[in-house]
Amino acid sequence: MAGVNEGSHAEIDLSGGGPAFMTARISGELDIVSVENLRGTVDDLLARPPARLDLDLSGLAFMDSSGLALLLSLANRLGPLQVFGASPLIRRVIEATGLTGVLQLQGAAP
Amino acid sequence: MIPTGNGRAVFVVGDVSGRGLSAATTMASLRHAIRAYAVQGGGPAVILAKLGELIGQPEEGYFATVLCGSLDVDRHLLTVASAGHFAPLVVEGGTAHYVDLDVGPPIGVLPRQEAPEVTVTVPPGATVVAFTDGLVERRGEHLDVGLDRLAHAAAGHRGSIDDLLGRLLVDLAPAGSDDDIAILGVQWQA
Repeated sequence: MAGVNEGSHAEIDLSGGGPAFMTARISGELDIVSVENLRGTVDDLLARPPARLDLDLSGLAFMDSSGLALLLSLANRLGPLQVFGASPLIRRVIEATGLTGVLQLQGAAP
Repeated sequence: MIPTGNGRAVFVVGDVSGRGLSAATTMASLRHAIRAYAVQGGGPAVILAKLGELIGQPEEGYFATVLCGSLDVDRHLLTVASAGHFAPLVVEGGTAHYVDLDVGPPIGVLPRQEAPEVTVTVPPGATVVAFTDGLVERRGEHLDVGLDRLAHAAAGHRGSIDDLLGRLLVDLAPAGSDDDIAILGVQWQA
């Protein structure tokens, strides 16, 4: 990806808590560096996946193909995901990659 | 670029997400598979569908974006299909436009790959440019800004295809970028 920043930082916060429905809020800059910091949380999530997982990307400023791969690892297991709050930049990345069937773009975060 | 006989050829440009061993081995097996499928005579949509079957849905979530095109040199026809990859740019007579293409999901995302193909006529002297995201993507910038920058730079060019590709790389590849950039140009001489 263009201009990988050694200091890039991303966070994931899980809310909802129950086995039926959770929201994963991913914020910061999701690239080949920062994606590694989220891998543990995502692996834990996939070990005990909720029946439904929504994504809140309203705090996400940048995402490269490594970030997309992380989201796809969730969608591969859980099926198509509803994506809320994505900025025009993030929406365009998902659209340009032909992924709107798997990462289904919705409006603002509820 | 793979010649398939009778004045035809197949080309591919692609990018595998992630840089680990699985990404490298995926790239290698895709390259071999594409060559085999092209020689078997399938068009771009068929080739991409077969690649989708080959790769399936890797658990790690890595994927490959692939643009596949076939050229009918004598009839000036370009047929393309895209699995998550940018459409090619057609440069002709001081203008440049992207082929209007419905982009399917990348290889490795769905069990059944569907990428519709489209056929366009390429005028004499026109150049088709296919590329990877490193050429147009900038952190914090809308993708369309980068795509417009590429189209604008290509449209203003006068000279040979080698000059065109060289200049696009020099002008558009960001300084210090560590992303691999691939660019492929095809020009009809007449």
